[in-house]
Amino acid sequence: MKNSVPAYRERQNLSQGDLAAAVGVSRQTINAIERDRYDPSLELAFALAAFFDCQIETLFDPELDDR
Amino acid sequence: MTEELNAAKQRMRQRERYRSLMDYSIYGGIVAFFIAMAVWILGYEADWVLFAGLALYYVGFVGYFAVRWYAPMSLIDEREWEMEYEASAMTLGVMAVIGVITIPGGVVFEETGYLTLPALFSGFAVGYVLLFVIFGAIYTYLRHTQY
Repeated sequence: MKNSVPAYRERQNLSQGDLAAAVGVSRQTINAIERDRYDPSLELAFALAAFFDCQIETLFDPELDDR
Repeated sequence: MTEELNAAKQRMRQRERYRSLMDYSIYGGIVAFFIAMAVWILGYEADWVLFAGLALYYVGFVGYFAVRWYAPMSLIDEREWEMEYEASAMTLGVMAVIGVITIPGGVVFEETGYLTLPALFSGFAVGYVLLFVIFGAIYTYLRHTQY
């Protein structure tokens, strides 16, 4: 599923490793999410939304255009 | 935020250390076993060598599971779990296809005398049946207890 995770992450000047550490997953998982190769679980999606202080629908949206 | 991020990074580093410990344990055990086998094959046929290799092999696996289960944090993240489950399901699917095609045919051709199959085939057939008996038991258990 397309997502806005890279945009939100870069806005806060965070590396993939930093974001991974913050939400408790591996850097490879964040990389896979950002490359649309892996859809996170609800739990992880909520954790990402909470970290970026936004709604899940803002981060993950099947209607999102290509970045 | 910075303090929280630093604490999170510290947890991540700790997680990586536990992962390394887990990996060293299992790979060390496997390597020790193969070294023992190599020593035996190369001519030093002392029983203690094989038993030592076997002991280190088991210790390696015990160490791997001990770290994995008792570490104060999850060492396998959700994406890795999902890959494991998907790989297991695909492996089972491939084994099912291989077994469905080869085992009944092998049994028929061998019993009718058209083929003489190696003893390995019987072992494979028994192991195959056992694999799916175990799969069926676990599937039934999960269906009745979790799903």
